[in-house]
Amino acid sequence: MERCQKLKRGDRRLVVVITKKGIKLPYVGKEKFAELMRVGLRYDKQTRMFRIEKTEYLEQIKNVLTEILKEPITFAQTCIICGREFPCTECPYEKICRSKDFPSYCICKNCLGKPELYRLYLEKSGKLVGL
Amino acid sequence: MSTSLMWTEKYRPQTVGEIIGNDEAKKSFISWLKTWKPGVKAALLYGPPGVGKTTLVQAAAKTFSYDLIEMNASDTRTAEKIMRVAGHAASEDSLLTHFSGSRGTLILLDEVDGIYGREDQGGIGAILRLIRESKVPIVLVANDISDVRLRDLKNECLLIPFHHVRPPLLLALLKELCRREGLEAEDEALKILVNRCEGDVRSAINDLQSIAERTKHIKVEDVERLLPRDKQITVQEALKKIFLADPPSEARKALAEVNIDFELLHQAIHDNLPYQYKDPEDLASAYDALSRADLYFGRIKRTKDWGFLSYALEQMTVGVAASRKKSYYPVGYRFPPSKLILLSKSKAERELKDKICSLIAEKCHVSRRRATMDFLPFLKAIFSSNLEEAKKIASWLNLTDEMVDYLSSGKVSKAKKR
Amino acid sequence: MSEESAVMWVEKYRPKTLDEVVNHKQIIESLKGFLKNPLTMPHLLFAGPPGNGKTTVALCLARHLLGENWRNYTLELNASDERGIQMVRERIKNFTRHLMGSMANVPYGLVILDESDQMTAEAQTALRRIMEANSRTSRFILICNYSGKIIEPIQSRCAIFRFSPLKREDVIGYLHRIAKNEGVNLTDSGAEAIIEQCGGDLRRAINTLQAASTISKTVDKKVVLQVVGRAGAEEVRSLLEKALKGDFLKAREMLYELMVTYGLSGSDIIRQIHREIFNLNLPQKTQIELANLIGEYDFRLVEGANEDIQLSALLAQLTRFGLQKSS
Repeated sequence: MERCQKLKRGDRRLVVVITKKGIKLPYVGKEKFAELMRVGLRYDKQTRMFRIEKTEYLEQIKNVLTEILKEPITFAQTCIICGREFPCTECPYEKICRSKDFPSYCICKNCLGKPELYRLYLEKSGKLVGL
Repeated sequence: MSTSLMWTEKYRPQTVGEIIGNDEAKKSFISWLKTWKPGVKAALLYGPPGVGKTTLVQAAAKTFSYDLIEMNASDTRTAEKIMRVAGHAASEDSLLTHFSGSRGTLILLDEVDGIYGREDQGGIGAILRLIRESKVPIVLVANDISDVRLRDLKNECLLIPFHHVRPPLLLALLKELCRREGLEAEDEALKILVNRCEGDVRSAINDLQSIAERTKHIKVEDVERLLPRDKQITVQEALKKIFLADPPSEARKALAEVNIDFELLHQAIHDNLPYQYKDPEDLASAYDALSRADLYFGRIKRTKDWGFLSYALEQMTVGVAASRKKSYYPVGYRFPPSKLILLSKSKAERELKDKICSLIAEKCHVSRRRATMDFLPFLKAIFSSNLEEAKKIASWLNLTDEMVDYLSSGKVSKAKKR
Repeated sequence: MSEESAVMWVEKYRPKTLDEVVNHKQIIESLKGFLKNPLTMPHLLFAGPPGNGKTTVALCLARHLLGENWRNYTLELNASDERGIQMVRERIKNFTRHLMGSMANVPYGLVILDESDQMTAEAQTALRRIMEANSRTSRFILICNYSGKIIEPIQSRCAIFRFSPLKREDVIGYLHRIAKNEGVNLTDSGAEAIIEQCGGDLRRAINTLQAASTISKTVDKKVVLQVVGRAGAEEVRSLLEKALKGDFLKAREMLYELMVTYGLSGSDIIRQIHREIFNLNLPQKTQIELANLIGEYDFRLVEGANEDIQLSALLAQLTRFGLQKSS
């Protein structure tokens, strides 16, 4: 289970966190593979990882993966300001977000109040993009 | 080099470093562009409207000094046109880049998902050929690429998905705009605004601008007063509201409800005005208001002082409505404006004329604009009266048969083969 | 391109040396001063109405300064044709880079930027930086109609030469010389008619003469009017008549036609309207009132952003005027 972190939650169950880098899965068989494609995952032959392409079916992706991994999973965002990984559930704007759960860069609740956030974001984003 | 009066244009990012959201997409696009060489795939940027796909390409061209050629992919003749431009650019580029360090040309094909809306399937094939043969990088942009007819195209492209921009980023942007425009806004008001625009940066900025037209202190009610997106009025309805506003001060409200560039609306009012205000007295006085509005637009363009905008908007709405002395019924309003329609109708002619004027410009040390004004009418006179002389001029200017036909008959002949 | 074989008369009779330029004596003298020690020549700004010799003088100067192969060391750009300042910058960059290798023969390269007042203030600011960055290898000659539209920092870096409008007799003299050389019989009424239509714009005047001569070897008033008629003058008159008779819609339609199909600019049309006012059968008092109205809209045209709104607004005023007079 490379590149997928396992975090301890309060209820002491293991949670698989899917990050923006992608997911490595054990062999799933033809049928499950087809299902994964249907819900919007894409398989990259070079990195041998699954990536989320369509964001409409994140809920189904969660379900199918839970079935395969037999573990509850959640999606993680990376804070572009401080680098911390966090789930959408902790974000005050979760309810109004149109790309919720899709693993990507965002800003975590600790950084939201920082002064000159706009400039700070553009700076970090510029570095990330490689300007 | 025109300046638009929309904030979406005013604040359109000029460099890649000013674009918010979609950081993965920006990263993959930039690294694709930096490492592109002939043989590498084209890039296909896709995702919902208003999240910065086209802006990214335009800004990247500026940031990395490419000459950008933008074309609409759903225009059938695009492929042929690009072939010409790109083919030309490609051979020249290799030389140029060699000793100038100029990065050359970047081609942007917008609205790729519009291609299959047309009858001819040749469109996609032509673009595929173009991608395979191009000596310069090509970027395709689309909203939705799920259609099966785009399958082949997708295989030839590096797919770069764009997503709705996240609320924290949109909020940061809106706060920055408020700062720059001297607005104060309640946090909750901005949050409602962000919810309303569904991750679409363009409509968030448009909404903020239309609220700012009314108040500098934005409260929750101000945002709630905005019409639901799908209930926005059409340009025709806005025209009716402006022309027949009673009292005239009501005319200004139309601005907040219609989603259109103010200058285009100005043009549309001008276009429809004589059909509505039939009385010459009313017409002249309303036109005076439109003319004054245009003076302010001119001033804004020269001075970049946006403070004049509200005067311009006032003149073109309330100023027009207050000119009405007689009473009128609504008429059928035309949109887009007829001059624009006229322009698009005679596109073939204009293109041919432009080519002739380029040839004149080169030989006679004038601009194309001057060539149009000070040469073209006289060439037409010569070509329609004296074949002998016309022949000499044609060969001196290297005019094609089609150009000669146009100059002598005033008509564009259908592709003449010889 | 061999200039000797030029077929368009404006090129064929364009002076090649400063001595051949008949007008602008003082300017020519000052420019000749620079020739003695070319390195002392600053950037130049030529301002003046169209068709009075600015580009010609710039090209002559290039020949004097850069010798026989002047074309290799001269970059001619047209601000209204280039796609933005970015392109201008690129072209100048390529030009100066190409210069570097061959500077032994010439003091510097020349960049002639025509219609520079068509650039926005922002683009001009960028231009100023480009001028500074290339001042070691190049001299700029900026050409414009109105020096007031050039930003102050550029003006202060240039020697400014104002080209006054050509005198009537100078234009007539010019036309007669060309006519004689081409075996064309230009009558006095013909010459008058050309001046009437073109004012001091020599380029338009020569083009009118050439076009007229292809219709008839004797160029008189009738032939000139026939040519100018084809160049839109007739249309302008009938659009004016329509407006004054109260048919605004028809007048506006004709206006669009003139702009789109004939490619006439707003100021062309408004100048033509102004001329036609005095040909109408109206009392002089009325003519001068109308002329004043036209003057106001000519001003608004320059100040405003959208030509067809200003011109339509003028037509609406004329329509109102016509109806008031007739009632």
